[in-house]
Amino acid sequence: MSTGVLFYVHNNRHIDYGKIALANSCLIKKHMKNNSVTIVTDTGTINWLYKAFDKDFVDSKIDNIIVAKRNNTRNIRRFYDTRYSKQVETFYNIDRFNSYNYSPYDETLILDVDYMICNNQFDMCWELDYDIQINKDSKDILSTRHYDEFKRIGEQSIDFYWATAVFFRKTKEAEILFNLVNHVQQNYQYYKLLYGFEAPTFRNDFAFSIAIHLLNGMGNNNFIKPLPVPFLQHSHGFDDFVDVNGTKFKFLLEKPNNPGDYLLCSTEDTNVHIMNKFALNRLSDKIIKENK
Amino acid sequence: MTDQRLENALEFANYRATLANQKAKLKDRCEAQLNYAYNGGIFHISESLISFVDSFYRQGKKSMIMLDSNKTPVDIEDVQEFYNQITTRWFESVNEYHRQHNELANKRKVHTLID
Repeated sequence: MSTGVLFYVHNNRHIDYGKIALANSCLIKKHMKNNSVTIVTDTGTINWLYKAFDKDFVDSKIDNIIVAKRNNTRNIRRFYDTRYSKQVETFYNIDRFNSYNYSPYDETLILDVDYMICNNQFDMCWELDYDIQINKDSKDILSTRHYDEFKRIGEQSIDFYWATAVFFRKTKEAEILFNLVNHVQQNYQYYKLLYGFEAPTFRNDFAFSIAIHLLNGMGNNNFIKPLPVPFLQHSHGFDDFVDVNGTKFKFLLEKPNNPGDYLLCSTEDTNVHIMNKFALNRLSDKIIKENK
Repeated sequence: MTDQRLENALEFANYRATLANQKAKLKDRCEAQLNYAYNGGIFHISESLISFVDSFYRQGKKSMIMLDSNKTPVDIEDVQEFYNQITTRWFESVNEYHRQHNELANKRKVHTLID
């Protein structure tokens, strides 16, 4: 059985997702046993990556590069670099429904490039008998901060699932799931009304949450099992990612009751979903250097 | 209160908030390490799981069926091996948690808490 990790990597004008993917691939090679990495990217992104880094080095960290046409649908999103700076940019990472076809592996873990892997806990995915694994539980890196937007997709709607990490084996059920995600994406405006949520931008999390709800027979049964990690840890765009030393990450976390004021935090050997892409961009070179 | 006293109080409050968050990070890390895959199932290692397995192990059971964290029945083919593995993982994770927790307790400045 072939196993590996799949990333979607499409640069926009401000964020070099290629560099972030390379940094994360270095971490995956260092920490995980199932460490073959495939990226789905576009010509512009891969050319830029080869320009910035030695080709042999990139190829040693990224095993397969699938070049696909970038979807130029106007999908605008706000990207924060702490509360003091934001950019409105296009979010091109909307071809995840194709994972079943793109993945060269029999058993695939799809990860967001900004979900930085600092331990081997995801290796357990391949040991479990569950053919589709996705988490709905997450924890803010600041333990006193809780946002309802990550519990349900709308105030009175269904459970929120994180498309940040999805494991699947190439089974009939997985194929149906990805077809459903595609269907939801094609009919996003309709499903927005049906499930009662406000989201001007297409979000993979919402499409997966709806597809899972449909696949569960419009119910909340546990046909889809969680990943072997109890929750996903995440920081926000309002937070700053300030330093890295091996698997020790340092953050400045915005205090919920005092916007613009920060609390220092460090994590060690912990996978963290870093939503401040600009900060991650700034530190990607250091991550690559330290984990070469 | 004078400005200095207020500043000291705020500095201490910041220290306490940072300490509480760092402690929560250690607890989260320990909790994540206590997930354990065995024979296709996933188990969260807890005191009750260890005691439960131990009671059957002491009765001389060689194998048994258990419900994993998703309530899926999993065949524990070798109870002794399973017991040894979960206890080893438990002690490794909890001892490390204890060590780091004690280290944190001795740090009195915000910047030392995150070093």
